[in-house]
Amino acid sequence: MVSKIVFVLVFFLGMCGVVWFKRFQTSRFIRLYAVKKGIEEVKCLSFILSGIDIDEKTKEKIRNDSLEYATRFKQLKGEAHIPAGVFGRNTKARKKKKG
Amino acid sequence: MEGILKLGRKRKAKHYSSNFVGLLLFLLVAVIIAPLIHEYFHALVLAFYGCEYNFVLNFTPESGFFATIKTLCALNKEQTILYLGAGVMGNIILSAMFITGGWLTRKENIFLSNLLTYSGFGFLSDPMFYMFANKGDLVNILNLLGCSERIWLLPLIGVLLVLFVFAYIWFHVEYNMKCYYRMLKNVNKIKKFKNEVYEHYLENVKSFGSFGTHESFYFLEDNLYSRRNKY
Repeated sequence: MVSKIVFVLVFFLGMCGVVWFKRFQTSRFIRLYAVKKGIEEVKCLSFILSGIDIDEKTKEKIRNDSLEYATRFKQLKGEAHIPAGVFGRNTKARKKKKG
Repeated sequence: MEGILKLGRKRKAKHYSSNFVGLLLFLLVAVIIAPLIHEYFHALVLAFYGCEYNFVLNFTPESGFFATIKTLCALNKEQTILYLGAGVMGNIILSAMFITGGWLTRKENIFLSNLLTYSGFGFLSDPMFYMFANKGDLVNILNLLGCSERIWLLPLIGVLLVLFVFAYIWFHVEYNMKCYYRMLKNVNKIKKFKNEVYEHYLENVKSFGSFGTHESFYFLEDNLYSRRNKY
């Protein structure tokens, strides 16, 4: 007969494993997704900066921050791939876009 | 703006602590509360039938909390089946209530939602244990019904329940993380806006008055809002 305490502990460890794995997987995916969006923001930034009335020093600071963001994305892209179908609902839409 | 940032920090702390506290609550419910409730449901059914009984509560490391109940009256077959099944059914109903509560509160209060969900699984762990046991209430019920050869069904149902629990946690954590990152993104955006643009705007207003700068402020604000709606 399975000991009750052993059963509860195995079940508990299984739950912790699922929580940890899903947190890890989702956070990595969302981080990469956010940085990817950052690239698009860099493109828009030059347009926004050209239209607003702030000094060159601040503009330069914002540009540098965004460039750092973009560089980090390239580094991350090389190190880890975005797992396909993490958000199941978006997979079909993404495939359709590619086609 | 400060209020929003404070709320963001509070939500961040809540999110981090909710999973940890929830899993601890799961252990507490699974080891102590659910077995106790299981035994008291047996006693409740006997009290409902007006049957006198001796109730002795025990604890062993192998079986956890369990009660030795001696009935001092004669029960027919249906009553015995109800009396045996009351513990398992009671915990299943409680777990269903808690998990539903967790599902309904997931948008309003993530902390409460996590606590309810994990404690719901704590209540569910008690019936699940009986699915994998060679003896116990469910096996006795099957024997009484004359279906002892179909005892293999119990572990099968147990495996399905385990898969349901893991799948639910999988999607629950994914939903939590999405909400958390959406909140974090907005808080970071507000922080950046406050530190870089808003402070600069205030400095300009102080030194040059509002001429020229208020237009840029609204222009940037409009852009931020339009981009936020886009994603």
